[in-house]
Amino acid sequence: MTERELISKKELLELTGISYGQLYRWKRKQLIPEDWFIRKSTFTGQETFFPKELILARIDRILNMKDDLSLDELAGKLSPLLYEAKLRKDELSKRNIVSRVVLERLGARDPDDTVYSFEQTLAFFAADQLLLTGEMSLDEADLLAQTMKEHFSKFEGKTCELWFVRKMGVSTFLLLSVPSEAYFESGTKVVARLNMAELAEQLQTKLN
Amino acid sequence: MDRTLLDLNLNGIGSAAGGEYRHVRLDGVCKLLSDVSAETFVVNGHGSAQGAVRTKQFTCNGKFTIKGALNSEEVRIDGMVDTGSVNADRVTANGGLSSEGDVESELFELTGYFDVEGLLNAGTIKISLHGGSRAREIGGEIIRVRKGKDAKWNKLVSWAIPRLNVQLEANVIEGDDIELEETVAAVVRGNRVVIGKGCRIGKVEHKGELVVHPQAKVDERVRN
Repeated sequence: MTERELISKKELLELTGISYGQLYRWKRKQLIPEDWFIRKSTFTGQETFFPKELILARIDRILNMKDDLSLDELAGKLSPLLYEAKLRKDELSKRNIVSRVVLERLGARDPDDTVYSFEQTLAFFAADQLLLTGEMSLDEADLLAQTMKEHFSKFEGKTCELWFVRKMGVSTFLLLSVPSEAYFESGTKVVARLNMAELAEQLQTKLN
Repeated sequence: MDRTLLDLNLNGIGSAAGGEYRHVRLDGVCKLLSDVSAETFVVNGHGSAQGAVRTKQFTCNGKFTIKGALNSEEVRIDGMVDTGSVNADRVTANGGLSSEGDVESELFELTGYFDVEGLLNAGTIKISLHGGSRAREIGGEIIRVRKGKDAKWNKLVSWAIPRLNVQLEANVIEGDDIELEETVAAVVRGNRVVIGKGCRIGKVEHKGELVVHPQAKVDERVRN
């Protein structure tokens, strides 16, 4: 598990060329989620940091979309985990968003023209990611999909993390709110940890 | 919505449960026991709300305490308001405003004093200081902090009433166009920065112009 790379506010503004005012305005309009503002004390006093990849992708999207949409319209499109996009099953595999293996396994009983909600697609996408890394088996993908289906909606669009834990060959999935800390007994291995907001962001960019 | 909402009028001393109303008007000493939402919300006198207040137009003449969040398009205060947090389009205040959390508004105009324990975030911030004020952070596009015109004698009596010592304290002030007076801050970052009379600033980071009044103190200046 690697810590997410952080970028300070100053570096961010230099890199993207936006001003303090713009950043604060976007925060007010909730274009940038509250929990991305990470306050840390440094030797120069308090400074704000952001998760680098997330914030850069987000600012890029805001700058690109700003010309066509008002800030309020944008806010609706960007709030974390509240995406409206729906996709048909055959489209998902055709556009290579979710691999055929996952779709056949998890969506075996659904006909080709089934329309999946964003949440469902996100579960598939998460399973796909973990399968690709070789950390998870197909049987475990079922568990993942079930966890997501039963519990993901309870977070009501707030950011959460999906943890994949294994001990002595027995695997478990957990959905945790962020930020949270978890401690396990010895011998337990956290195989993977997915931030759902990040994942949703990745999926969203793939869908566009 | 097809059901018509009722008005809530309280006169004298009284209390009411919360709920959804069309117009809320509280005259006298009043208490609301839970969350309230209404189109307009007017307080004359002294009151409190145990929950949150959600409205389009909030007017307070007197003193009002809100335990929860204040959410209103327009906020007008003549008097004092204590609240959990503020989310508004326009805030115009004469008197005092205290908030335990963040204050967010497109326009924030205040004559008097304020106490924001979180972030004061507004597009345009215009403050005419008349008393000791605090904010953990201030952020926005245009930030103007001036010493109030009638506040010049305050220093003489401030030993007796510390509130009257006209000064703004903040950890961080960040904006595009900043003009400050009587401000104590650790860091000020902005594009154009004017540090006026009576300021004590630890560090100023600026992109554009920086003007420092001779009666101000700036420990470190960094131009990026």
